[in-house]
Amino acid sequence: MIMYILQVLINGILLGGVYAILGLGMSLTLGIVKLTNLAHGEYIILGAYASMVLQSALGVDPILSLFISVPLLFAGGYLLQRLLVNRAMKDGAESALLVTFGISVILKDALLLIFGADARHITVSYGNESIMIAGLSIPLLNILLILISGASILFLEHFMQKTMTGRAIRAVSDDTEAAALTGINVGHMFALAAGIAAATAAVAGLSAGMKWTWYPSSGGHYLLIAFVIVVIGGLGNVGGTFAAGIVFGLIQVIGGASYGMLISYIFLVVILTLKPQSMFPRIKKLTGGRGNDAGR
Amino acid sequence: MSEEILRLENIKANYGDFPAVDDVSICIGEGDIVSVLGTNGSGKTTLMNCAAGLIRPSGGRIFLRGEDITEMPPELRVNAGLALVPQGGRCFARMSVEDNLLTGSYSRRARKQSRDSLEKVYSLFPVLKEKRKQQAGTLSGGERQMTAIGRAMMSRPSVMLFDELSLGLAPVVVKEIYARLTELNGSERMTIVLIEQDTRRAMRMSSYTYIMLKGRIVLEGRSDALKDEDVKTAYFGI
Amino acid sequence: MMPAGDRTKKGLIVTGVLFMVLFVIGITGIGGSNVLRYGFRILLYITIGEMWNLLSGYAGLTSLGQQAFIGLSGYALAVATTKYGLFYPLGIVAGLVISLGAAFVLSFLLLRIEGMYFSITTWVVAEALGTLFMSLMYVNRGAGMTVSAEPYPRIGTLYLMALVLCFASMITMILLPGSEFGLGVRAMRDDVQAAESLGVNVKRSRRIIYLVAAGFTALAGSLFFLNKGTIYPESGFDIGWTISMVFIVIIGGSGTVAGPVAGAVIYVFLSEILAHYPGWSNMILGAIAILMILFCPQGVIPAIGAAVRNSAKRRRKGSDGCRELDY
Repeated sequence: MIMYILQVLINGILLGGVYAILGLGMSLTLGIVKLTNLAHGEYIILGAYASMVLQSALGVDPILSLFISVPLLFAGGYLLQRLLVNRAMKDGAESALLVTFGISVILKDALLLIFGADARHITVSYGNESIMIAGLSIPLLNILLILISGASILFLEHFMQKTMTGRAIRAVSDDTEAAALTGINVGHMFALAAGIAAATAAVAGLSAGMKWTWYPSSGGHYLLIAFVIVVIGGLGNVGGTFAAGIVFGLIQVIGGASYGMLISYIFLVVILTLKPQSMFPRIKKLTGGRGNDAGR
Repeated sequence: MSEEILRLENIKANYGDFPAVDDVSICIGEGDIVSVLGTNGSGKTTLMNCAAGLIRPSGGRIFLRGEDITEMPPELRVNAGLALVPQGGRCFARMSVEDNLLTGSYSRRARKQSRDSLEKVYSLFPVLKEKRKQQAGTLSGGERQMTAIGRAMMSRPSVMLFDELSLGLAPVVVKEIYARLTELNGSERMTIVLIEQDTRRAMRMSSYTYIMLKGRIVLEGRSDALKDEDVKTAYFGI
Repeated sequence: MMPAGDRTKKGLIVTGVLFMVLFVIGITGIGGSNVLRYGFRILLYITIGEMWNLLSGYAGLTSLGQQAFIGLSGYALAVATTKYGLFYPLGIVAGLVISLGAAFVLSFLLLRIEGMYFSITTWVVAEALGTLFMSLMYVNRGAGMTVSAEPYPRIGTLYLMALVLCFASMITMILLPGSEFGLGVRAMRDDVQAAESLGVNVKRSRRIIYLVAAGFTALAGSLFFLNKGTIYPESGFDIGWTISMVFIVIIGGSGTVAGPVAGAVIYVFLSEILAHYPGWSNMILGAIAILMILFCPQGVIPAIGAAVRNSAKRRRKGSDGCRELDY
């Protein structure tokens, strides 16, 4: 019995990697662009389909498909932000939110039109293999997924901390106007952040697609998961996102298929209600700095 | 007078229906130190935000070395050699001092010389080198202002605009920072524009002075030739 | 500009005349059942559009979860009529009471949350309700429920009910902004702190608006499902309801009473036309909405109004003020 509980807990923790990467992109957009991208769920589903198509077209392991799907999603995310969302942000956060809502609706139906309503899954030969560690049977796939997630997060963290572009993105997230005054093109940085967020969605889509079945309409489900994880983990905080992913994974494992999501929804509403201020003081301070910054 | 480097011509800028800057012209020569003085709400900050490109003026034109930059976005103005140190410095609070400075050399022209510029900033403000790993948000007000000045220097500007440098700082710190600016002006022939409420100090340091009131220039002239009485009258509008 | 009082009066007169005309159409059945069927849908979409407009355009509460009240009231109607054999008007009342109760409880949670987080959380709440109903045996889980009514109301009756509901919502929208309460609400949308310092009870005003919107939306939801006859978790708590509200308000124009009217007419006919291209309809609606936000953010009604005023006298250029930082 104890072994069984232990095994469930370990799987919950390993699944946390998938949940963390699901939340990472949203955390980036919220933290840097100060915008909730309502199309992020569709980006994730798009990533899953991309890996599926590439797997069958090229006959390679789906993990290798990331070399194509990541740049593809990055470009898409960049362009949508630069051409549509940035423009709407000048009219305020609400307009931009509704534009992303429109993008989400369009993508969802485009996916339905292209791929049909069937349930999909990315199947790999090692999908059902497990390894035994100290008497615990741990699915190979879960280990692989947390490795992918961890590697992506470490890579991103290095990029943000050590490169000129990463610094510029952080500067924009800290103070948009001051960043423009140091020679940074703010619109470009917003779009880069949105592109990176979309790129993480490609990784998230692959991970989720290997783990669960999905439909063209599953985007909303993943968007909400991402949002719950961001709220639990805090903004632009990579470590927090990872921890939140693990908490979320445990909730799912404990709550089971029927109540896992419900519990996390309630968890989210409770957190947001109990500490509506403490989570966002940074945003408040930044946007309240000068003039009407609602759209930043 | 030396060769002109920055010229604002008949600048107008409104906030809603309220004219914040009304038909203001200013001309700044290369290597000069010029002060623009005025009370709160006289429009001097708005004028500088127009110069830096944060606000697009509703009328008038802006020239840098004779080139019309009125339509240029702020980040390209930085690349062209114009840097504004905004009110309160506005460092990136969550980044280290060194990351703040390095961000300053983001623009294409400055990036190659980033190491060299960093050394220059550290030699001008040694305290920043000591605290280079510290988060900028944890610095004192004076150190934050120095970080902001350093960050602006990193973009290798030829004109630097300082918005209310002395605001909220202890007099001894202000004196120190002003001394550094004089040094910068002497060694690099840096053109400096001081937007200030602290009239006495700014006028003592600058060669030419503009005084703004309610969005207009009400008095201008060589700083040493302006009479105290006239300055007081113009400044307060009495 | 007319004084506010005159505009209110004029709005009421126009609305009253329109009501009489539409009422006569409903009573006599001129134009046949097709007109009534379209009219029914348009009237209900106007209602939910006006209510979203009230939340978002007037009070700055951009909810993405109004479908919660449509689902709740639809289910209340189905449970009351099928499980307890009640007469359907009682089912509608039950839906209203339950939705208002839920809105009252939720308001204590949701109204503490600001901006985008409010938007997302309202959505989460609606999704959570959908998930809950999916696993609740009491409402047949995912298998859905039927609405039973004896005798089943004819389309003429449904039309008249929708007509009364719709005009009640419009009159609320006409009277509200002129009232002292409404002025406070508008001040609060522009600047919460300033409104508070002027003595507007922001919390209470927001709660009232949220409840009013929930109530009208719930009534519209009951009528929708009374007409439809069946309800499932995914049709009751469908984000599609919010999509249509957003579309209607964006197309018509936010913050005006006439906006959602135009928006709903356009929406119903457009979705009728687009129904011939299955799969494409939401994409086209989404694209139109995005283009409107980017190029005509004030919506068609204010845009037409501005064009009319423009031809009368050249309007002062709007771009006089300072432009903010571009990116």
